[in-house]
Amino acid sequence: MRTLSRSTLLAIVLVIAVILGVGATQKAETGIQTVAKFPATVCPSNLGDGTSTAVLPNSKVLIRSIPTKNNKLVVAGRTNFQVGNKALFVDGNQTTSISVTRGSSGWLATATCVVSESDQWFVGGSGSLTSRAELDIVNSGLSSSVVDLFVFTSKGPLPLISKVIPANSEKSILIDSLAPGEDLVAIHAVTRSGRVSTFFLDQRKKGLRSLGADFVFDSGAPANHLEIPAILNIGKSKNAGVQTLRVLAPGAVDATIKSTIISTDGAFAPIELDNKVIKHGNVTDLTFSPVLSGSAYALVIDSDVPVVASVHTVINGEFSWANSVKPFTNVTMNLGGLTPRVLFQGKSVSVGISWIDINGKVGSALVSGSDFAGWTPKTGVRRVTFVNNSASYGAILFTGAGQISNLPVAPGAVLESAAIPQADARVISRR
Amino acid sequence: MSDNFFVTAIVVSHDGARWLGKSISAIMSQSRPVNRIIAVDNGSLDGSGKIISQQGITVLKGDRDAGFGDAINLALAHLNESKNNEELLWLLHDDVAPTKTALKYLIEGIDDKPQVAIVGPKLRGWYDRNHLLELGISIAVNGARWTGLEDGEQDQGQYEEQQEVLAVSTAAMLVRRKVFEDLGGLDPNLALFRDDVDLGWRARVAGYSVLTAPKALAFHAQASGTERRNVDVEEAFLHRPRLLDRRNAAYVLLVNVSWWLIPWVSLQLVGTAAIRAIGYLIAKLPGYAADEVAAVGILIIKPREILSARQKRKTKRLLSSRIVREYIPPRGSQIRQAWERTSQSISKWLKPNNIDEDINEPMGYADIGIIDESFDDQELATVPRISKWQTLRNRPLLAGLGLTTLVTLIASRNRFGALAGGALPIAHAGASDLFTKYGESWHVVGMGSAAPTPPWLALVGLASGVTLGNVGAFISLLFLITLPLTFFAMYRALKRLDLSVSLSVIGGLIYSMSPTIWASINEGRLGTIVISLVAPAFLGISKPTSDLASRSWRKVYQTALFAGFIAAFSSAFLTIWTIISISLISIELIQRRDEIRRLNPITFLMTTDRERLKRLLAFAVLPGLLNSPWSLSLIFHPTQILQDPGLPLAGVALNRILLLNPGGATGVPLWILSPAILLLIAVLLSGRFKLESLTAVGIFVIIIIISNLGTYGHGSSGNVWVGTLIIFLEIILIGPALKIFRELIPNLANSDLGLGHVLTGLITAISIFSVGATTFWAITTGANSLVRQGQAEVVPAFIQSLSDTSGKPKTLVIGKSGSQLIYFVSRGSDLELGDPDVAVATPPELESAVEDLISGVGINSSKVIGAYGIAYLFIKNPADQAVVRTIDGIGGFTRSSATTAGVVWRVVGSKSRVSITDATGKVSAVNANSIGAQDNISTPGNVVLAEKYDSGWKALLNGKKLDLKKSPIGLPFFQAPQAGTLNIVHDGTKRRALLSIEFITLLTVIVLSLPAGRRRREVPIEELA
Repeated sequence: MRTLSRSTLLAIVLVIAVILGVGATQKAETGIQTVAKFPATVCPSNLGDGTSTAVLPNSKVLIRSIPTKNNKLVVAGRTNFQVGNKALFVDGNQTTSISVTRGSSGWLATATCVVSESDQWFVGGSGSLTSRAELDIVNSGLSSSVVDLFVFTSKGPLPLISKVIPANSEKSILIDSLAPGEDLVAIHAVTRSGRVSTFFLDQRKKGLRSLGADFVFDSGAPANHLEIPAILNIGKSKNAGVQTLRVLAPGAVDATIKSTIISTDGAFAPIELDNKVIKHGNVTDLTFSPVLSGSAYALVIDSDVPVVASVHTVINGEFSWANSVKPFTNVTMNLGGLTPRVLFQGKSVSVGISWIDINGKVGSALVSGSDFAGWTPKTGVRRVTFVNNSASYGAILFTGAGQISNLPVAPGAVLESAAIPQADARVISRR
Repeated sequence: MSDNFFVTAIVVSHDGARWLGKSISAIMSQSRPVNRIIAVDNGSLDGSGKIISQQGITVLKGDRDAGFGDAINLALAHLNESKNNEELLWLLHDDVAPTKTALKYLIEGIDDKPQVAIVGPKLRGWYDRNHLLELGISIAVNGARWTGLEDGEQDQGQYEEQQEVLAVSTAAMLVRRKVFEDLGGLDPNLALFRDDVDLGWRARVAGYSVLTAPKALAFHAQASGTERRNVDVEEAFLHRPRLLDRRNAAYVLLVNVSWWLIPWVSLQLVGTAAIRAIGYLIAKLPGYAADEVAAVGILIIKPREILSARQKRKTKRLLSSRIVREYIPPRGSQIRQAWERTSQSISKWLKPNNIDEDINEPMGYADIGIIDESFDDQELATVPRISKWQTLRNRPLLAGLGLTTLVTLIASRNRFGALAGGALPIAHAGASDLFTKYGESWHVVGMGSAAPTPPWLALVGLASGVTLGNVGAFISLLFLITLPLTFFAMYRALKRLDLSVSLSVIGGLIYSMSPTIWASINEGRLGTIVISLVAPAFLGISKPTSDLASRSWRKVYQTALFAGFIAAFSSAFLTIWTIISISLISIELIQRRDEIRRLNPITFLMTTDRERLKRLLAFAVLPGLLNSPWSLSLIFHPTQILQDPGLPLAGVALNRILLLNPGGATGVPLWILSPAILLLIAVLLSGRFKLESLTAVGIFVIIIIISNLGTYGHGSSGNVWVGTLIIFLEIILIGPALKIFRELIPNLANSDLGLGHVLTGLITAISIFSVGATTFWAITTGANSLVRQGQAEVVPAFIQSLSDTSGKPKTLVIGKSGSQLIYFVSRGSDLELGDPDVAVATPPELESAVEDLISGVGINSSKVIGAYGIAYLFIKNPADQAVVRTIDGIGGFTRSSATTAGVVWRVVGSKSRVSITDATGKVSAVNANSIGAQDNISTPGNVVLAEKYDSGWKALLNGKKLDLKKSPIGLPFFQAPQAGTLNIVHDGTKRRALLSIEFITLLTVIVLSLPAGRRRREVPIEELA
């Protein structure tokens, strides 16, 4: 009996110990904790001769100009923030702010406020006599940065130009200084170090007469398949203007491209852009004049070697650059009451859209279709969120009285997720 | 009577009745009779005068407070000098008994030697008649009485020749009367003690010789010196003989040495008095300590007395005082004698406790009383030759020590040299650096810390004395000898439990080869290693007994001191120990609540028997106090209780804990079952050893509960290390388990085969297998431990060199632990021993900046990081390329280098450790030292300190205190209203005060736990003379 009771006691003790042990188990290393934050973005300064507005998510967002003396962030105080001759630093938030610049002659240029990108391809602009194009490099970091500029022209690549951008400063470089007299330009900007946001405003003038302006966006890395989702259909009338596809095969081999125009009328290959050989290293412009019933269309380019491309649309006294984009996922953009057309292209378009207007009212819609679909916000929409349910491409087309501008549906900054580092003295202990 | 001398014997008595009878008889029965005898009785209260007068001797009455010299002078005043023959005075104490021929030989010593003025006999003990007391005396420069004899030296005829000495004792001194009177007799300022040395010194410088005549023998009781009678002379302040002796010694030196030696002698007297006083305090003899100090003090306040005495001596001096130099003992002799006395005392102290003599060892003939050593030799000659293996078999202790030593030598092949790894940081510092670190109030670790340093650091510094202060060498040595030492520690502990040598050796092997010991060695668990060495002995002395109330206070203090020592290495032990002590106090109070209620609490505490309570209170308080202020910090930061010395490491699976095998990746494999768990089962099943069983189960439950708790502390995160608790569990269990085994075997041998046989066989087999397999594992894969020599440096050399510049730049080091990104601030060097133990959390503002930096959103990260004085950012290889790209792109960091060690960036705009920002925003560096700063600032502004904020920071501008403020990013700063001299310090007053309390407590407890010294009157007279 005594043995039994001792054994029972032992068993009970061990069972209790195991239960307590398991219950109390609280692993120190329960897996790596991560933190996700939106980085701050930068809107370009007013590069034109008119006004520039940064459309912010709300009036409480923190901002500062670049440069500032003490780098202190302040509350914006308004949603549509007038930007002066200094770039605007916008504290990290989950929405994408946009910059809307209007020239005194009436042109419109829009840009997304973006975070630092180390590798950008700007396909557009000119260094000719009419050009007032400029590359606006903003270093929002606290150390100086080095940006390498690889300029390509119709005659081939130019020697490398490196620019040092001091900490917390903005530097504008006229394209005609980079490629004097060159009509066709593409620039590959590589940031070697630092927090650099680069904008490219193509502005042209003939004498005192403005020929229009628009931002050239980063087309992304060269690829064999490119999608340019929102191109204004300018028709075939004599005064309508010109549309040009600018292509660059930056590699060592010539490219052969095939193009497809996708619109509400269906898809077809424009003869001007079909089976065209693009000499490598040389910027090539291909003019085309599609006949379409819709007001806009998308262009799909396939190439046997990686290329970068954009479409230049010129109408009377104004032009725009439509660049190739990547499929978007979830993007929230601040429209600030503007009513552009948002166009989606894809095999099966399905985009959920939700918005909030300036009165705080919310709304939603589902845009779907095959190949090509569009949506125009109601008046007074402050912020809109696009949720891509398919692998669609999107872009925003601003059109108005003699105004045209193009903006990709793409976030200015993506959620940065990183493992939370832990303070741990073991890192400086020998082991 | 063949000589021509007239001998007058003068006997001085003072309460000497105890010895007088024999003394007078001895004097009266000399083979060469004295010519006349007279006695002076200095106011004896014990009938001494009567005893003398009954012998027909004239007795003069002296005052009770009169000195020996006064008595002699009184006698001489009554005695006319002999006119026919030269008169010799034979000065005699009442406690001295000369042998029959003493006077004869004394006269032989002086006869035909006109230069010899004084001659003395060989003095031997009154009780131990062979004990040599004196053959002439001298005085050391520190005032010590010097006989040149060893303590307790026996007379074996080794001193039979006459020799020149500085002086002889007045106990039976023969002196020419004329010389005696010419010299002025004995100095009246030396009523007792040292008057003899003074007389001899004066005789020497007057051109006379002083001799010993060893054939003249006398037995001396040294009644005054050994405090067998009161010292009532006028100068004896409070009747303290030691005080008088020390005062007189100093007096003799100061009045006799050359004048230019007086400062040096004074210095030595004061110095040695202080040292002796400390020694007496340690020996718990405060009265003697006071005597030492007071003796010098009394003399200093009476300089006139010394000046006057020196003047008198000057008139009689014919020779330089330097002629006595040859009789003053050289310093080497004094040091040698002090050393011998100390070592004898220590061995005497240790010997009674040495109970490890093997009673089974065959005794030699000498041991049993036959002292003819040839018997032993004959026995040895007939012993058949046996092989070394057989010798080892017959001597299991030797075999165990040999085995553990061999295993540790092979297993430590990767651990010869500067060790680091696992929980153990590198130890580059010397012992003094550890002491400095222990005393500092601000530690330059990470972003700085004001955390109290754990006392183990000072103890390791102290222990590194064995490697001449080289801490790294000491750590290596400790890790190397841990195995044999733990074996021996457990062996000794088991022997104290009356287990046989063989069983003790088995227990020692089970213990030393346990997975916990190996895990501690392999993972660098310094605290557990130390505890595994000392805890077996501790459990022996702190064995809970019911007779706590009667336990001596010395034992109580010893236990508390020992507990304090262990607690220094284990905060968990300190907590458990204190909680148990407080619980026992509470139980006692609850049990006696009726008594308390009846008497009211105050009366209860004052009047009733509180011995047990007092002892428990000492147990509860002292270990904590001995470890303050570190122990106090545990109250405010209780999670630190779960921290062990060094860095925390990742935990292990619960099954390992259940099997009491806490080793991680480099631990003993789980399939080598730890014998400890079997011991636990065996003890529980036995139903005996209830206290041990209960304690073991309690510890086991605690182990399981806390083993997987994650903690942050010591600059890192990890799991609670339970190895120390498992060590205690094993120590508690091994003894009872072996006792069960010892008693079970005979029972099983006499019983039929049953479950008992099976279980016992199983446990034995598993234990043998475990020890064997662990040994094999240890010398093979076990050698690939986390702790090893030659671990590569972490911080690049150029950053190390930059850290010494005046700006004291810091470096943010980023690396990986598994897949976790980790970082810490380096002050230019790798983490060193003790650094993790004081490291505290990084300021949240800096944490946030680093977090933003890594996630790529920290646009201002470089600003914050730079403001904290971090000038470099270093990512160790293998570097996370995504992080490298992020840092390259985020701005504020300029890449400095990329080597095989990693990538280094310079933080743009980083601040100096101390900087000042003026009104225009201009930032200037302030010259900083390792902790504070001192510089002249040329402008008013904000002085920012790139350290963690702490209220201990203090700044003085032109001697005026500035207010401490906290910047928005958590940095301490001061507003300097004007230019001037700036002084920034971290105020360590509080820490110094607490350390002083700790030090005083430590000294007190050490003194109280040491064996007490005895007053001379307490020493049995047979021991003295």
